[in-house]
Amino acid sequence: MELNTVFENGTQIVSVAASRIDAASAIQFKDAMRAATATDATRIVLDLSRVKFVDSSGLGAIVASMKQMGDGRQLDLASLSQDVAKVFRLTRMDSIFSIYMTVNQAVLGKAG
Amino acid sequence: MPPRRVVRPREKPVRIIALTVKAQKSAVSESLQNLRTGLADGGIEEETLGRVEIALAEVLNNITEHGHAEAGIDTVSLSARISDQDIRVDIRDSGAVVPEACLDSAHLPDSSGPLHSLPEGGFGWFLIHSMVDDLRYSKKDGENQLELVFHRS
Repeated sequence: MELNTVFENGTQIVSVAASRIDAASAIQFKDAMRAATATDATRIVLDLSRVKFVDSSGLGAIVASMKQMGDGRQLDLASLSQDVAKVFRLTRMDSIFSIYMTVNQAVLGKAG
Repeated sequence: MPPRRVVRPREKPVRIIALTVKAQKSAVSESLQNLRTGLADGGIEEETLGRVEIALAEVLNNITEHGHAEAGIDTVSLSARISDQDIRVDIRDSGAVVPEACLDSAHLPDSSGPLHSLPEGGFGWFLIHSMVDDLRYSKKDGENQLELVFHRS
């Protein structure tokens, strides 16, 4: 799965260039995240603006991506669609991740 | 006496979308997108489309994982019946019986622990129950029959 990285004010922003993180692509996402997060960044913002759909396998892969980054590093989420936000809210995973309305707000650290 | 004329209220035609889905993750993904497009063409609201897609993703991926791997099933048949009030989706496969614990009401996995113990799965049936307004399951002649009802928003 294609992920694009940019650095802004010391924050690494990883953008998902796919419209779905689902059972068919969860493993590829997790592998791509392992490669993309092999950096010195302590805070990474996952930009989900192009992702329209996440199922429970995709949700599990996002949680796994944070776990594989290791302690002392943070994975925040930005720009969730309505459907994606609903999955995070219902499963209470919105209390595990900091979620921002936009990537800009995430970089500035403003609550979403 | 001439027979009384029965006046029936005019009913809108019910639209039905039927699909056969291959029990493979990539085929499930593609079928879900096709079904969403079909439902959207039928005038279904975005909020309802989201609920239908999430619930069906979980059901079909469960069948693919358990049914295909354990019972060797190849396809799942699915039909969605759209009316003004609701969408009724009928899903049939010949895989293993769905455990009763999943059908009642599912619980969320515990996410209160430290980072390394956070759950990466176990959300599926909880999401299905959260998305549907009604759920009925029966096993007849070796066939699983699951009906999901979504009231339109």
